Amino acid sequence: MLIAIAMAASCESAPDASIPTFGDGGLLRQGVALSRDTLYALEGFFETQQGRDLLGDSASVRTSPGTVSVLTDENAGFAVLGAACLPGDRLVVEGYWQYPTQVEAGLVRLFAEPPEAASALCNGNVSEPPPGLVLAGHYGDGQDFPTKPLRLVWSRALQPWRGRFFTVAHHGACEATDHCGVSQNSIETVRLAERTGSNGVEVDVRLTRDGFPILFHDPMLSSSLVRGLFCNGMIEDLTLAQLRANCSLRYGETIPTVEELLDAIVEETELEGVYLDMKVADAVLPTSRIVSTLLDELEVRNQNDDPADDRRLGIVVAVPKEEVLDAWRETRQILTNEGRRVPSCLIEYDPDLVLSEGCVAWGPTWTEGPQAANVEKVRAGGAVTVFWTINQSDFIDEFLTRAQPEGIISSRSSLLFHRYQKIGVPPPPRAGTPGEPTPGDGTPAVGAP
Amino acid sequence: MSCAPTTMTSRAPTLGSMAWVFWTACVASGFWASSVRAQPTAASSPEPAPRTEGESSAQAAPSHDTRPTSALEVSAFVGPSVVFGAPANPDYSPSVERVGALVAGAVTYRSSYFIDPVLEVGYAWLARGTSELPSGPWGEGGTVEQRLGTWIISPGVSAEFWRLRARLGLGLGIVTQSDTFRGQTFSTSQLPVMSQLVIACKALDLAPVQIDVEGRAVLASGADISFIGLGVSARFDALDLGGS
Repeated sequence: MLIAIAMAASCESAPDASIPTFGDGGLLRQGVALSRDTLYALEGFFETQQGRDLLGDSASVRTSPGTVSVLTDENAGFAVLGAACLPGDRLVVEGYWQYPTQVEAGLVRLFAEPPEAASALCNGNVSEPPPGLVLAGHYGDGQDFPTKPLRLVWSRALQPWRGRFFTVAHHGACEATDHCGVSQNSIETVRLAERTGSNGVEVDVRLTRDGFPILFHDPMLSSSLVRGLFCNGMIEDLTLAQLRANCSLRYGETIPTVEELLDAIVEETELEGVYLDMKVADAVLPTSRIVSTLLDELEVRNQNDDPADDRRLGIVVAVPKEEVLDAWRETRQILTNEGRRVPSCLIEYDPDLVLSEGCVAWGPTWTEGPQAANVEKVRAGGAVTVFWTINQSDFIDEFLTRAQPEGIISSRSSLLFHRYQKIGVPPPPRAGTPGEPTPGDGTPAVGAP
Repeated sequence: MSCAPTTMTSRAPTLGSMAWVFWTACVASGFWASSVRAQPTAASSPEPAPRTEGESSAQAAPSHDTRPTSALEVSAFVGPSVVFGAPANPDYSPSVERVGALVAGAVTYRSSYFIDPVLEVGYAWLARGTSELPSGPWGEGGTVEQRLGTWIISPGVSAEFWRLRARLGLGLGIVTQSDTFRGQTFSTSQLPVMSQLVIACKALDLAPVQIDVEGRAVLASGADISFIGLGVSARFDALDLGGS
């Protein structure tokens, strides 16, 4: 008995993650999905008339390909919804809501009102939210059919964020202890990050024994991050083949390579920024080569005659310590000698180095305070500031108001996005940064940091 | 350690059967020892009286009370092990041999107190397996042969009661992982905190050596490893420190 108890007590199973779904596929299955261009017209800052228990007094609604996200500061909650037009020009928006730090989740089904607004959206002839737009319906708990009233009334446009303010997801959408059903540093969590309010992601880069830059936080295959009987040891001792054969992330995902991650981001998301946190110096050169190649490919893609396939993505190689800085300098020299593009860099620990090294961003830790003077200095030098990692509402507010940075890394993207919409001051537009997207221009064209 | 639901459900019958085997062996050995002593031969030494009246129910116990009160006791264990946990990627047609072997040696300072300090060092050949890896960024696919083992370095305490001896250990493991793929072998290791619970049952007194049936559960926190072992240990007093 003692043995059994000890064994059972030792099990650190992945946190419960029960993402509810409509059993019959919901109404989305019966409708025609809204086009990407039309989804933009659903964005805005909404007042909560009913359902304050769930969302608080307001919510930000933003969209990404195929998704309408409702983001709030109530328990960092979010709703990930799809939108479709039903016969009779009824527009349904449905999916699930979740508080990431809690097990609670449930279903949401909303309809666009008034009928004229729904009709305009379904017919795709809108470039901005129709007058008087309301999303009204119900939410529920768990798999229960939604019966609690929820009513969101469009209040104002979102303040500028695309190309202006980076809501950067820390290792992806959620913490390892959250209940989002995805593992940190996975492609799946990056997809979810966009749906929960991020327009950038921070991921951790390490190098396998055979030279593949991969995403993983710890130097060791700790059981808090991976599973697998044969999944043991140090990342630097293992080849990519070994990792693939022996390990999966906590929710069963594959440990991705940097190349796989960037491909997924480019092809499947509208994320604007990628923060590659170099955990080891040896990863800088191979990672930079991958980034350099990708940026070349994107340049070709953006210069062709089809503006609809334009894709701009800001990628920074983040330098967290001196050892990595030395590797970065060496890498820059090697790539220059090879006649290749040198990726952008971010330095975490010294704002003066950001400018002297020609980097585009500074990534200070929040523990040293807002450092408003340094933020301004970096901005004057043409770079941006992205603080890491702030998850609490009061700290987010303090940094948004006192430092007014261009971005913050957070594990609570929905909270950060909504607080920015509530009290944030949009940073000045950067050179070459287009404005908010307009229907018809495909994916939003955004500037690199 | 992460335990998939399938892992946990697969543990229950294994643990149950191991516990059953252990208990059966313990009780059977007690009866056997009792019957041997009930028919003394000229060669056998006279049965000493129990240490206390309270131990009269344990008359079947080996005559351990003839040993000195304080001694440095050396023991060795050998037996099969069964490791828990599942391969990571079912898509890669994994096969796993979970039954391995564990050998260990321990030194115990047996004192006049109820709790005795002990230091154990051992090695377990835990599992072998294969996975069929498809082609990928690493090149062509093939079979990955996997081997898993661990060193155990475990200080702890032990205590005896009736025919049983319990031991709790908390120490370090050195988990060794080795894979062979396309003719190349790569190894790595990590150092998780390792805790173990050992329960031994006195089986035979072959003075000066005592033979125990021993079961143990070992947990490596931080690595995805837990296993149990059931086997035989032999122990004897290497150094008499006085008392009797």
